[in-house]
Amino acid sequence: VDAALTLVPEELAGWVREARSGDREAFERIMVAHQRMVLRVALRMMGGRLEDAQDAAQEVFLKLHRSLHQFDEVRAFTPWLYRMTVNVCLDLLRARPESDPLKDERTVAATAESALLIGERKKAVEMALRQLPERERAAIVLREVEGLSTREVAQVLETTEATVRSQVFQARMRLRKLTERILGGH
Amino acid sequence: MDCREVEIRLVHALDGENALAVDEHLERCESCRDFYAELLADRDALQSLASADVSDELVQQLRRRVMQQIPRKRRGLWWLPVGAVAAAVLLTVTLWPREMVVAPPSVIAASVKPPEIAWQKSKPQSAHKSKPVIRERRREQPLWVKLETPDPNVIIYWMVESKGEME
Repeated sequence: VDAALTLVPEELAGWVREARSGDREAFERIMVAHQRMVLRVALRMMGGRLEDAQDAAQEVFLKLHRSLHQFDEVRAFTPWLYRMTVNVCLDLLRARPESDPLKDERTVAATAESALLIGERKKAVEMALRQLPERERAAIVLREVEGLSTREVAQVLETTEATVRSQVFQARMRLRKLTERILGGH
Repeated sequence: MDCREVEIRLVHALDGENALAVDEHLERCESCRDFYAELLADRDALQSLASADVSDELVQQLRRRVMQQIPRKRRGLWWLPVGAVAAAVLLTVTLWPREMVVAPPSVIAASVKPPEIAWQKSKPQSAHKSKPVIRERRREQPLWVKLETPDPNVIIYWMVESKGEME
């Protein structure tokens, strides 16, 4: 169970206050409450690669520790952390060389074979997710994997609800085509 | 309404938009029904990713890595800067160079007064103008020569050990 979901805002506010004054244990409590959420988003954004997701999540929490003093609205903590996670992942993805296999069309053919061997739609969708443009991937991950509303996704990505709807729509259409190809038309 | 338009509406329907208008088309179009079933299956698969892959081991590993890089709590170390200043003051006082006091010898064999230098005069006075005062000394005692310098704080002593040759 994600500890962040059951967290009382007043409790979080206390931890943030203590962590700001240098209390390591308070920061660790914040981390424990949000680590699964950050890892989950990072994992999907980084194409399911555990090592990359862990690197991204580590960067997110170190960045969080450095910038806690900038944060004063506890109610907005979760969207703020989501945004930080997505942005760190986007930065890491951009830093990759252009010949990134995730962007290579041939990857679809390669993943199709392994998905058939595994025989799981879930695996196929996960592989298809890697092929999506980064912004669309962020929108659909937050919307479906994290279960945020269109409005919340817009808040996290600092864009309009109309843009999010469009990105989610495009992502669903692309996912459908890619999944169909990966599963061989089944 | 053609199949392409129905597909678009079905995708929008996943985000809560009204799809009632496509019901009639779905009843008679097997292809669109399949599309919708696949769409729902994709969505379910996506949602199931939420609970996958993030193992306890991965989470703990992440926490260890992050906490290793977070600086230690400073509470209880308030005295550290105060102590550092106190130690610095103590060291400074202890090691500060002081005037070295040397006890003068008990017997002085010769004492030479420093020459008086009149800086305004064109001819400097001879450095040897003042004559040494020779004092008697007892045998077997070392010979001490005292040289007074213009600085009253600096007095130079020479000690010569006699081994019986001098008379």
